[in-house]
Amino acid sequence: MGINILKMLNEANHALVLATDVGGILVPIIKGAATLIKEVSEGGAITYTVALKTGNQNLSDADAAFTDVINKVNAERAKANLPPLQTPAAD
Amino acid sequence: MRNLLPFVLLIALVMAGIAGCPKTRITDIPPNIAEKQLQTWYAATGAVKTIAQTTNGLTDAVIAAHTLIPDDDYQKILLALGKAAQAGIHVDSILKKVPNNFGKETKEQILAEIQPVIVEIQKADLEGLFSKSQSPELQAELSVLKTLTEAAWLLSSLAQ
Repeated sequence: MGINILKMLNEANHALVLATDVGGILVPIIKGAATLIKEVSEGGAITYTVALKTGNQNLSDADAAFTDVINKVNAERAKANLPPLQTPAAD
Repeated sequence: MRNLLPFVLLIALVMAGIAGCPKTRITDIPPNIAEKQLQTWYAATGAVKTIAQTTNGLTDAVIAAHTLIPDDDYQKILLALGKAAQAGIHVDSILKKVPNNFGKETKEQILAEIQPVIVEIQKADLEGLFSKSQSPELQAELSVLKTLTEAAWLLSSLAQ
């Protein structure tokens, strides 16, 4: 059943019909969610080694972006004389 | 409350779709590793990366639009984004330790980190700020915010 729902959501027209039933505000949520599900679930087949390498690269990229966010936030907090947020150690 | 019911039902349907969706097939897996756990870990790393990139983009947008945002709201929003980033680094650390064992304990740790992030973002009411703004740049950030919310929901669902 879950697969049928996913297939349905991945087809934009069906997503629009579904969203129209419950209110226009849900249209972008459903379309976006379907896209995201597709990105993470339809990558075809990859080897174990590639999965580990790609997954760990995703996490390194995420660490860098999160640290960037904290640095930017702290720069703005410093201007307002607010204490900085701590940056957790990335393992 | 009645108006919320379709939304709740729809989210439940989406979550059911995620739970039952076919994930990336991974080959050549060592015999002592469960493919399903590895698939979940792999999908979770992608969701975390999406959360990180969208949080970073939203931070840039908020800072660029500082003059359009009341001072109190400005620092409140930045604090929420900063806390989201802190939680994201914690989730990263958890995922780095468990590529081969995405079990119950890991899921509970991730849920404990990610659910407060969703609450923080909701409390900051970025959606209200962006949608009410007269600035086209801020209104354009609504789609980025939705991506962030969806990625957080997706990660949350993977950890259930």
